Amino acid sequence: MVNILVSVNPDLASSIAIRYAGQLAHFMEIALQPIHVKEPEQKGSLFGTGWVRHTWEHALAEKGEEEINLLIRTEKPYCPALAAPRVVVGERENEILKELQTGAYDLFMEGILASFDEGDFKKLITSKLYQSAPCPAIVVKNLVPLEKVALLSYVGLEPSKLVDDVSDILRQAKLPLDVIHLVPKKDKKDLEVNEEAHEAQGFDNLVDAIRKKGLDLQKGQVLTGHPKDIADYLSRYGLVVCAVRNALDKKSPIHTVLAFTPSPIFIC
Amino acid sequence: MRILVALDTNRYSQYVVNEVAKLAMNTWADVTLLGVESRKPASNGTQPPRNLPIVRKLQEFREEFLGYFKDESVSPYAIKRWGYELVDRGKGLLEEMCVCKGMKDFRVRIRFGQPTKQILTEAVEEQSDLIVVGCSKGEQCTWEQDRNAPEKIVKAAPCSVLVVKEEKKPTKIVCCLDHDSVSQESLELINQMVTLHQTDLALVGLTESEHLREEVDQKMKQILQYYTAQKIKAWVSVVDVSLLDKFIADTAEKGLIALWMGHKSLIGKFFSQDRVGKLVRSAQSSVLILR
Repeated sequence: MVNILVSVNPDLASSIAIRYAGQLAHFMEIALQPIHVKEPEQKGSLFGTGWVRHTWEHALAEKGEEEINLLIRTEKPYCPALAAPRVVVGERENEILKELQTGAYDLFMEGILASFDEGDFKKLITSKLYQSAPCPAIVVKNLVPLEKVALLSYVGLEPSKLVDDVSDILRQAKLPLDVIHLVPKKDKKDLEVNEEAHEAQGFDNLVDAIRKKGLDLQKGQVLTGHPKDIADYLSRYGLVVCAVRNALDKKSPIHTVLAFTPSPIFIC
Repeated sequence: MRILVALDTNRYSQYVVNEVAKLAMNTWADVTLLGVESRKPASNGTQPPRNLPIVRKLQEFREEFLGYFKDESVSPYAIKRWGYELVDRGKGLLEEMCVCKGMKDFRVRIRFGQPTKQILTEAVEEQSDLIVVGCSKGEQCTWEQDRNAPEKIVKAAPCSVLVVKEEKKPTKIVCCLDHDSVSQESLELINQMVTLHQTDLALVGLTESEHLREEVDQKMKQILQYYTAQKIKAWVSVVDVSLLDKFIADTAEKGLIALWMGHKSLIGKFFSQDRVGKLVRSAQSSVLILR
């Protein structure tokens, strides 16, 4: 059983995330706990103290609950594993981190629409929530059929870091797995797809680590090209797995690849 | 749906006819092929209209178009009924003539005068839903008599306009939305374009200060559900208005851009008429302006 916390709002992105979780449930047993954080409109210290503050928070949470219950009712047929929502009032990142740290979750998930501004994605994965979360996360950008998974490799990747974080979940999912070694080059016009992946630096170590964990490796490829072209190519995968947390330089072109990849991204 | 196809004698016009024929096969639209000649030939018979290059070209285009509908039993344009109709022959003369018609209208027309004006007049008088006009893919459009005709039509047309770039297949249809009053006709038109080109569809919501308006979010959800039900793969994303120019320039390299330019649209506000003209001029593939 994979215990998932999904952050929800009454919007399209959350609807996509819940339906994607519904697809995951076809491959493994999941428990899906939705959480909605109602942020007070006024940032900073919360309104009042004692009974006043408690009553005010309660009213805000009730309002949030109404909005979220409607979403949950609409999406439940697409994801029967969806539990009753938890609605809390406070600062979003802190509240979700608190829940992740106390709730023994295996995975965090949220829907975020793909943005043309690659800075948005960088901001997301360098946020306190993604850097400090005690478990990996899936950023669901689109509802893509979950048929095969791409495990991304790049120069300087520590194979054990990637494989340790994902192996339990991927082994349960039993989905075909491709290892894609990325060589992003901004000046390259056409995308080059090389099936001789074993020639890539560090590729064999990653494959060894995957096989040791008993995962179903299908093929390996090296993609050389512009980050946007690589991102387009990755759209054929239902899940793209990449180790980026505390592993990449902020200016790395891998960030650009992930920012423009329209498929859901598993971040570890 | 009523499609007006504006044609000249350039090579891209032949490509336009082929594309419209494919579109008509899916939509069973009423179609008018329109050619424009700057001057009306003298009425003394020294230059018979049938000798005009545009007239000969339109006859070729007519055959080309109808060639797509060889099986007359299923063709909406095959002549299935006939009857007598009063036809205005000009100079106060009406004549009852035998007129043959198909299930759907198919007309070939020639107008005389300035191209943009004549095309727009035809679109208004015939209440066209879509104008299709060809254009060469370089910066310099070679439309006869008026190089900027496609751009002017896009800016002034009362209906949707599809500018077809010479033999350029889009790899993606990118549909930009920024408000919630999207017409069913425009959704179906996009649906047809996706089917016609066998491409993916991208639904792009326009954000302001990184915020996607609730009604646009809900509309995108409905549209996504609509296309999913039609078995069309639709990708969703957002772009901030501050990056719209760059986004359009990037996307127009490979994809067909569909912009909703209705009066409620912010795109019209942020994406000025001059930029629309620039888009039509510089895009490497077709551009669809939805109204």
